[in-house]
Amino acid sequence: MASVPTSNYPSRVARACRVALVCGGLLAAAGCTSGCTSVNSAMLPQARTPGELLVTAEALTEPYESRGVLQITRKGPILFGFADIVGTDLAAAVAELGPEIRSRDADALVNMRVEQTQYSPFRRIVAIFHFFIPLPSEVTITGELVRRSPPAPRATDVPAALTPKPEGGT
Amino acid sequence: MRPLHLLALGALGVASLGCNAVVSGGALSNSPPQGRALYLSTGGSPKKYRTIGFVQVRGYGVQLAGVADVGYANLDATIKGALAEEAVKLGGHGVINIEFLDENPSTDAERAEAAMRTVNNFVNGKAKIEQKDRYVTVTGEVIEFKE
Repeated sequence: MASVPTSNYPSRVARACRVALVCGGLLAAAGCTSGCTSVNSAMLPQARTPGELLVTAEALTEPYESRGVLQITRKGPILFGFADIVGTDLAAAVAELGPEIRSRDADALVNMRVEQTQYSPFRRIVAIFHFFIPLPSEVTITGELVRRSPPAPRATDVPAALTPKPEGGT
Repeated sequence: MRPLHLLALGALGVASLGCNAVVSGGALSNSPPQGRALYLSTGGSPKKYRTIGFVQVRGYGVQLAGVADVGYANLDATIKGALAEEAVKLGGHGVINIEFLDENPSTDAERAEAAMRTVNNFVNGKAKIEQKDRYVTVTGEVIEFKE
């Protein structure tokens, strides 16, 4: 009995269509359920005593000595939409600040400005499917390095040994 | 050493380096200001003032082979150079609220990659040095002290 040659072309097309529909449905569902806002935050050192580290976006009202300007940039790829392998978020950049401030003999970074690449959750989910194209990401912090002047010593700060003794005291 | 080995070695070196770039410039003015030098600050003015105008400077430069920077794409040349000169031309006593941005600083990995590419070019008989355009933008408010 002679066999009839058959082609599996229609079934492959149908399977590809089904896969495309499922992926499209997943993307649509992800788009509907995820918000369009991406949030990134970091805690900053807020010491108010000269000598301790201070990072602020405002200007100082107290006397200071300028130690220069500083820019820290971290950049790298985000893999699969979420894997930030080198750390290009605010927290990673802020972590770099301490050693840089200390290395310039400063104790504060003032008038800080931040720029960061942000991707919406939807864009990140799309990147999971486009895993072969990593998302470029970058965070930049700029500011002025200053050294705050130490406050004038108060009476209570003077060591007892250096305090003048009252005349005729016992 | 074959070029392929050189590239592989370079890639290994690049992978082991960090992805951060640190750019810094010299000191600006102290607060309170001393002397009659042009007052430069990323913050506000320590005295009463009148605004004369605003200045934006974009310094352009080229980085060669990841190691040599040529031109004016650095913070000192733009803030203490072009920006200060322009403020003096306008008759200002200072520039406040200075904002600066090195638009495309190179990380250690990028510098190493450019150097390796340049070496690889020469090994392959091509006299080509890797170049990268560099830009630094600085803006500021030019002021005149009232006192």
